[in-house]
Amino acid sequence: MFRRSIILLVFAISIAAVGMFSLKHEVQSRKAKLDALHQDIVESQEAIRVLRAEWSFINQPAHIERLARKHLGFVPMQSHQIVRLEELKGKQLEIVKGSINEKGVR
Amino acid sequence: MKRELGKVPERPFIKLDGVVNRFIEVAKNRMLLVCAVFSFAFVLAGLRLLDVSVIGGLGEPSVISESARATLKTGRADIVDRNGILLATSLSVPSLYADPSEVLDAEAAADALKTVLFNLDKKNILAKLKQKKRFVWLKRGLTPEQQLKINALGVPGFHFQEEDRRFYPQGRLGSHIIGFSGTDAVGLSGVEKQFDGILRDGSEPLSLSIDVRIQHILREEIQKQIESFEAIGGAGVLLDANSGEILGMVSLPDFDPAFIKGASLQAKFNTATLGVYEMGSTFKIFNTALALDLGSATMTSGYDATNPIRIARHTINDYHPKKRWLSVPEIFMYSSNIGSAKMADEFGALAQKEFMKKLGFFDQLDVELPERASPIFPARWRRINTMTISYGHGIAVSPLHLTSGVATIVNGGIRWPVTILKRHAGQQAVGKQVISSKTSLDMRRILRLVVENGTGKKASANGYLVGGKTGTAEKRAVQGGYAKKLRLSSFVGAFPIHDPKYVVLVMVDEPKGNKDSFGYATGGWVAAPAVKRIVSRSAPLLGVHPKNELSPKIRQILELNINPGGGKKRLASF
Repeated sequence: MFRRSIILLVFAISIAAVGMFSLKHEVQSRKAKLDALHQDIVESQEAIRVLRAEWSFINQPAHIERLARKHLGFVPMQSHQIVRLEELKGKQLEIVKGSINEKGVR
Repeated sequence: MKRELGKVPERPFIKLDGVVNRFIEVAKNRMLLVCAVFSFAFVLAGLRLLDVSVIGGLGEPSVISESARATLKTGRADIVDRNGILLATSLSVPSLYADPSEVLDAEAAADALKTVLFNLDKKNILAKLKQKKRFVWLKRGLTPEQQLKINALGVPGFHFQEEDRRFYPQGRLGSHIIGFSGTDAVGLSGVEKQFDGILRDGSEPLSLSIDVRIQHILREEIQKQIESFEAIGGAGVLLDANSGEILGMVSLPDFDPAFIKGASLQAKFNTATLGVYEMGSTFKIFNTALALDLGSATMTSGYDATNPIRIARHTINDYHPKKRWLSVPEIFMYSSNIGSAKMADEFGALAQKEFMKKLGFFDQLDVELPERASPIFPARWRRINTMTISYGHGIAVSPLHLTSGVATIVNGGIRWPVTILKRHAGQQAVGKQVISSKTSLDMRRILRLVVENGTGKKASANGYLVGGKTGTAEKRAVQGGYAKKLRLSSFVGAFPIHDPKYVVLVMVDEPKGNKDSFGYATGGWVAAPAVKRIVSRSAPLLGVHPKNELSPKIRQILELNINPGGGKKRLASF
């Protein structure tokens, strides 16, 4: 009885010891991973800042305008090109019939 | 004495029973006590274990959340426009320094460095490397490529240090507003200087009220006018009439903050806030508004503008003399100096002075920029001053003063403090009522009249109902008096005029007439067309819907009888 409990105790202790060591290692490796991740985050944040600056730079309105004129043939919008939804009410039928091109709503 | 060796003395014999039994008994009791204490401690520890792992464990998170302790810390907060577009940011860049005591051969080191940084002065570098210091800057703000190349040189004593550097990705757009900061990240002008402390401490970006798109439109259209009229400069402002937020403000010529060292003083000067000018006829807006508000003149009364006024060795003349009685709307529409002077003479200097004060024309602007102008006005306010100020001569204010004043007149009479910071939802400034809403409506009617039938026709952006006033001021010559050829042509207006949302000012400095303008370089020819283009392009971005300018509803709001004296002519100005 006494011997058996001693064996059981020793067994439990060794299990606990092994468990603790592996846990410690696990924590250490995770900590290292975490530090690496933090480092990554900082680097990514720095990269994002650079990209944001670049994005703002290439989105200068003058640049966009030049590109739009050159590649898309876009020109500034004219007031007659803007139509409110209410203004279209009476013209619904024409659109359904698919005659936008001929009768057009401007 | 003889002692026998090998004979062990006899041990004393202890009897087991009795005394010995008692000792064992005591030992056993003590053992039991120790065991009890220990088991109690273990039970306690076990219970605690149970408490922590099973019972208490329920309250604890199963996953440990790690707060982002490693956020990037930059030396200076970003500046963004009202839509969050980046205007200024800090990025870390490598800078090269040397420890001269580590440099073995200064001559060779300098030669090697010159293979990467060609435009460095060798003598300068040598001098630095021979100093008896442990630290000298060689080049600040390297590109990553340069850093790589210098590193590859392998010169002992050369080191890199990451430094924060300010970048302005929008370049010239808004450079006068944003300002710039020096090498050590100290704000030196504009918002960078005004909010230096906040930008240093904060990590939250600072939101300005400006919109880069509006900024671009203003800049492009005014630049176009400057080029075609060979002007020396210009300024433009687009202001929210009902909140005082500046959506766009340009001053030309401008500068690129990335090349601040090459910028001229003139380019760095913010004309819109720091320049003061005699604005000319645009001041008739304030003159007429005051007369109407006081009741000294009405929309149907008028003045005789047949003859020039002679007063104190001056003659007040009209550019387009009508030589007859003119009603108040007519005086405004034809921009009659004579009529305006008579109007001012009737309400007098005191009322005029008080009104100018209420409009803020005696004080520095309240805008959050270090570059703020103090207006120039007469110390002694004589009758002649009252008369000339009625048409904008004898008082000098900044273009932003003028814009803010016009916003007050058209928005129902409330003066809002002008701001360069974005007003967030629910953040309402305190405004002051300066004129009545009735006067404001009358003013909107006659401002529309100018664009519909008067000098401002070229500002009429179809559908957006622009109303405004042209101004062509003669600049004071260096040698005194006024220079006839040097003009300041401007147009200030609001749209849509039946319910003003925005106020626009365009000012062009010293335009020269060209063939297309038949030699004219007046506000109506130079500034008004730019306003038309600015309004047509920016209104869709600002969410202003085009209206049918002839709709009965709008016509009713803006209807105006311009010549009650003539009786016959009844013009609907819409």
